[in-house]
Amino acid sequence: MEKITPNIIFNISNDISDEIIKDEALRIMKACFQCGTCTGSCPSGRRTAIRTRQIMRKAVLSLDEVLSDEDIWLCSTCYTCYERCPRNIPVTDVIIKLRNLATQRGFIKPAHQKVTQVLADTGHGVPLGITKNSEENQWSKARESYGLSKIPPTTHSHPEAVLEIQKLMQLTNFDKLVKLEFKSINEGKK
Amino acid sequence: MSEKSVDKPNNFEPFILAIFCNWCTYTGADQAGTSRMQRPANLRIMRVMCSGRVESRFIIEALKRGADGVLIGACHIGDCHYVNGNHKTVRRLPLIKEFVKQFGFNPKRVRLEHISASEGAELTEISKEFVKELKSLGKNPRSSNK
Amino acid sequence: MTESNPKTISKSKSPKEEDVRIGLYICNCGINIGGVLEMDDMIEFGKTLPNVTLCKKYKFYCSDNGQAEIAKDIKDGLINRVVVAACSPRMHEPTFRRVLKSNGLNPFYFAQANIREHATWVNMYDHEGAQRIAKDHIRMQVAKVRKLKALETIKVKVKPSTLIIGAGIAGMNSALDLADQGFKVYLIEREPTIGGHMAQLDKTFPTMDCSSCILTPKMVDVSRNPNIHIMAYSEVEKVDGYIGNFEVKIKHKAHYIDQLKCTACGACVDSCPVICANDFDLNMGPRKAIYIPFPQAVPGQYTIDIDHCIKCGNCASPSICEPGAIIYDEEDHYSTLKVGTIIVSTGFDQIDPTNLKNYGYGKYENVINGLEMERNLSSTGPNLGKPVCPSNGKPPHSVAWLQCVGSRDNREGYHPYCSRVCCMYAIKQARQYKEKHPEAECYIFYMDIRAFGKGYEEFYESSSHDFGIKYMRGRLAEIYENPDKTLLLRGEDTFLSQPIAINVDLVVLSTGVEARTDATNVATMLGIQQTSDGFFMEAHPKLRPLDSLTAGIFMAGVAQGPKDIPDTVSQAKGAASGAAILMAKGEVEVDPYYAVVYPNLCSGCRSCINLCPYSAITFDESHKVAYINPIMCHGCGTCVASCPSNAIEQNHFSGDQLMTIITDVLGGLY
Ligand SMILES: Cc1cc2nc3c(=O)[nH]c(=O)nc-3n(C[C@H](O)[C@H](O)[C@H](O)COP(=O)(O)OP(=O)(O)OC[C@H]3O[C@@H](n4cnc5c(N)ncnc54)[C@H](O)[C@@H]3O)c2cc1C
Ligand code: SF4
Ligand code: SF4
Ligand code: SF4
Ligand code: SF4
Ligand code: FES
Repeated sequence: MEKITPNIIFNISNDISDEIIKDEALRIMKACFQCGTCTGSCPSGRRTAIRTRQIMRKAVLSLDEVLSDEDIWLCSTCYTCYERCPRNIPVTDVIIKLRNLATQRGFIKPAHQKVTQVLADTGHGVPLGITKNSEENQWSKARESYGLSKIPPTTHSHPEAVLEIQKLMQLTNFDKLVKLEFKSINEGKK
Repeated sequence: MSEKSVDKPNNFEPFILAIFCNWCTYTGADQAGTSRMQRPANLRIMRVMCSGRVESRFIIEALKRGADGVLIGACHIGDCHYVNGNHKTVRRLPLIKEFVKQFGFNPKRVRLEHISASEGAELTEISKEFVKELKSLGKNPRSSNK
Repeated sequence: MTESNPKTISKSKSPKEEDVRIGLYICNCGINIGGVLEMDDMIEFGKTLPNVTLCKKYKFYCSDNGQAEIAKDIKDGLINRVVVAACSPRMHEPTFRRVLKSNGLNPFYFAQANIREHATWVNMYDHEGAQRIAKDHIRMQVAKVRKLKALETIKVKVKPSTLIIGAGIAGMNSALDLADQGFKVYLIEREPTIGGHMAQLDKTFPTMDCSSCILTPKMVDVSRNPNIHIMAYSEVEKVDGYIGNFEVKIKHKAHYIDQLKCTACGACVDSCPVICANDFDLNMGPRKAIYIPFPQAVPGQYTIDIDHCIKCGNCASPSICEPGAIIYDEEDHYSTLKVGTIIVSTGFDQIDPTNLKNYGYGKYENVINGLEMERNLSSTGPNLGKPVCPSNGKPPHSVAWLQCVGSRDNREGYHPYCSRVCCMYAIKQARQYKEKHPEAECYIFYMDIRAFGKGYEEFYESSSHDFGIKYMRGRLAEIYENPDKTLLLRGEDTFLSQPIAINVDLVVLSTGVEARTDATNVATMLGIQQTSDGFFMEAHPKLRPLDSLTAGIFMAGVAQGPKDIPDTVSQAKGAASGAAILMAKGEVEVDPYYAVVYPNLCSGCRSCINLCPYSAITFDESHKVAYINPIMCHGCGTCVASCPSNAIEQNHFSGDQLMTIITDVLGGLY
């Protein structure tokens, strides 16, 4: 006869929660009593589908969906829940930890992957819109009017530093984690 | 005279003589037990009615015979069951530490802590920390083999 | 020397060491000890200790069978001293001492090694460590027992009178029970009237009895009982002495009215031009500067609120106060009492929610707390029992109660514990409001409803079923005030997993209870302890819930921890019975741990004299030596540790005994 497994509905484990509580400060997350103060306080939850309390529940029960679902990415890290949680749980920090974990386990959103790719390519998460004749850019005119150089002293004016950033990404295995492709800088400039 | 700074292996289990007053710290230690608060196995607890009973010779004798540390547990100031026995202990401590130094021991091996009857958690924390400190100080130079 | 030092200790002449035969009994305590320690190894170890004649183990030595085994070994003459290695001596030392005593051994030839609380329970997973500590603890107590001396307990007379601090429903009940047994009771209350918080309540859950209808007859009983001496508007200043013989100093605050002359006619009230906030109504209504807190107050005499009085002299005019009771320059006065026992029943303060900024208490007019709602609902309250919104004086169409305000909150300044009354009082108040305004909407925002008492769950059930109160599961996140002073509540309905927003007219914060702000002063004055939550600490949470750690002092009511009226009254009866047992017996036995001076060793330096907190040490001028009065000595041992000539010994904690513990456990020679 087939053995009936006790966890019919969920695959309940400690897999995710154990990972989170490796950080001593987050150990208290297991004390969440599902009061809902966090969801009720969440400014993001009023507009989006994030239900902070449910994230906490799923994290305590280590349900994989907490990593694969979009919810953890909808938090704006405003720290309101963190401040109000009556069990003193650093809720926002738990969410950030969940994001790290999600990424490590390959649950990365395409948009986030793209941002890191841009970072790898340009050295900026949000690069300046540099067109061929940068003189025409509003921002470079503004910089000049304050007596600053046209292009800021970042990778925009030191494209060779992008290589260093890429090297760091390689050394930390960040490139593999988020599946980056390194185009050569000159190529990128074309 | 002071302890020679020889190499200090910290993979030993420090022997701590704990002298606790009956009303606060001993009861706090009972509470730690009842609440199953786990702590390293280093405290040998001796009960006195009040921390005011603690004589310097208890401490010197313990160190001379190889104890790695002595922890005196008293009520918080103002809470002594006998009004102010613990004030006297506090005042005696500098003298005790001076004796300890003269006998060639690091005075850090002797601690006075105020731990109330409901502070099992504090006791647990303090023991952990004291054990850590004693490990870094190394064995009592007089201890033969422990 | 006329007053000779007691002869219980004769230095160096203990019974010869070779006569010492110790029975060492190691208790398994079920699996509490036996499940962690290697018991066979423990027994082998025990047998190697000096003077241990026999070493045994058993599953529960505190049980009848366990005790019988020890008794048999004593009676058979095998042993003359006993060490039990088990739980804390604070638990069972008296049990085992009785075994020795009833079998012809001096009960002080006993020592208990704590290998449960101090070893196996704190090293549940480190079995090796637990074994190491347990062995050392046994070694220490075997060392001690070798050196112990036979002692006689001291018998102390217990005066047949009780001091009760705090005259709420707890203090009043204890007072009546003791007075009816014929004991004299001094009932101290710091407010001008007895009654406590119960006098401020309107109805009581779950029976909906009118609070004052059941309280005021009790207050009258208290005032009429010839054995009860009410001392209202008074506070305890100082407590000295010990079980059976406490000496208490009381401060009687000035009423500015001669309490013996005042006939409580009340003629003065109309003459007083000053109108100030009525603190009995939580400042929601007015009262005069000359007042009684409420019409049924006991004692009924008037008091002048001197901070508000302008000394216009109206009330003092003979045409107003005929007996001439007004004394504007009256001063506080003091008295002293001697009592045998003390009961502390000082009750609680309400948690102040002002710092919970997201709820806006103190900022939004229509956010009030539980006790304010209680006065709001009361027919003797500021609105004569017709609750209104403070902003417009109109009855609210919708009311929301917020549970666990300040309770079950681990954040700094609030309390992790459950206050145990707020769920039920919120349901009660919501129901009362629904009775008056069936058309109104009542919401209760809660995390868990704790309806644990007799009839409580039924009361809860009927509140939604018969009264239509809406229960919203979720702790409310925040409140905003709308321009019209109504309130916007935001939170989550956790059953729907849906953020919600609701507008209501009135919000009641179900604020919990906390220890009185002056609880620490009271504890220090009495020499009793507080638990980490600030309430007074019981000697044992289960077996001695009403005794303090100081003999002769008991506690009752919310002073010991949050509870409702039925539980408070039960505790009051228990505390009264604890005090009555001591007083009915008339004497108690006290451990003879007093200190003794050896006159032949005393150098007469007088170092000890000023150290004693109880002035138990005097100087015998004719022999130029110190003398300790064993009745006055409480046995702290402070003088012993300070004597430069080593001339003082403390019974049962002598230098020899303590030094042997140290040298033995460290492998010494002694
Ligand atoms: C809003 C609210 C509603 C409630 N409703 C109910 C209900 O419906 N049913 C129910 O069963 N319970 C109810 N309770 C609980 C109930 O109020 C308590 O259980 C009860 O009042 C406790 O009585 P007590 O005598 O222990 O304390 P208290 O009533 O606080 O009395 C203590 C007394 O001691 C005095 N005192 C304090 N310190 C000193 C001092 N240092 N010296 C001298 N005197 C001192 C105080 O002035 C006071 O008179 C409610 C509580 C609240 C807050
Ligand atoms: S506020 Fe804290 S306790 Fe409440 S549900 Fe959120 S995480 Fe859990
Ligand atoms: S920190 Fe994130 S989850 Fe918490 S309230 Fe802010 S947005 Fe919501
Ligand atoms: S301190 Fe010692 S020597 Fe001095 S008077 Fe007191 S008992 Fe005597
Ligand atoms: S033991 Fe304490 S109480 Fe007794 S005489 Fe000495 S100092 Fe006083
Ligand atoms: S009784 Fe604890 S220090 Fe005095």
